[in-house]
Amino acid sequence: MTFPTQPLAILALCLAAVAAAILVAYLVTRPPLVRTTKLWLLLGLGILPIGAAFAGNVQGFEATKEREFCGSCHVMALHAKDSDDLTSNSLAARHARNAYFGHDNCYACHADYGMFGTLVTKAGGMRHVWLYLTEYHSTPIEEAKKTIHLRAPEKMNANCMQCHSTEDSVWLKVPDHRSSLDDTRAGRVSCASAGCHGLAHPFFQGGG
Amino acid sequence: MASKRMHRLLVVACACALAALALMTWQLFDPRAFPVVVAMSVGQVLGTASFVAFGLVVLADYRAMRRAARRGGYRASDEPPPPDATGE
Repeated sequence: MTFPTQPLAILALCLAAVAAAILVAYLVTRPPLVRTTKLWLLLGLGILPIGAAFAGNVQGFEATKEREFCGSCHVMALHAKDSDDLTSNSLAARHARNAYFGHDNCYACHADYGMFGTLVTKAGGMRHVWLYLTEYHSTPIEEAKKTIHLRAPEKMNANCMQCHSTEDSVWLKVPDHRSSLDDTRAGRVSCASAGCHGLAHPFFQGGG
Repeated sequence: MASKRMHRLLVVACACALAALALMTWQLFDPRAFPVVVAMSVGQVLGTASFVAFGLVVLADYRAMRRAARRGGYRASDEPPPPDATGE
């Protein structure tokens, strides 16, 4: 547990603190319900908490993209540990060392693309939380390694192609890329296979 | 009686709002899956419910005031009646 330093988090904390002070003052003094009390309560029950919720939710949504968040479920601990390992050569760890999105590498590689990609990803994330609470909460990590799997492995190349478009001339100069172009785009050949760029999570069954 | 009920509802609303604020704050200090999901679900529901309760109390108080004004009586809330309402 660390003190948040992000501006939105601090804003949310300040708004929540002022709202809480107003509410505690009301509960302690129990003043008559005159116009001034209503205005104070409008601040304490409405405006300030709504502001705190808005800032907190934005901050929360940002937090859900971070590796720390994904790794907070114990069955994902190995994935997060591998990404944190500076000596690891797994595809996931190599992406984690990217300065631009490394701390969000789970989200960067597993988020759906397109206009509603974020929403679809968040909905999928809720499914993960549900499965964790109902099925995997007490599952030993060794067992989880054997049972957790990608829901739609055929879609993973599309996620790679969010950044690696397969259109770039430098990319197309690689003979293996040219020869497997149609299969790669169609998801028949996985970019993250042992014969290509290696498994994303090699310690895991399927590596995906 | 109605005023007492409204005050009780406000006390419950304040307690709910404080719980919601606590949950929202928890996720900022501990951004793991469980606190974030709880803050965005239970926290939001509690916060919204407390604001709705406040709205209901204000609405009920406003209606009581209007009724009282029509009868020329006291306000439903504990606000001291204005001099004209008591005939002074």
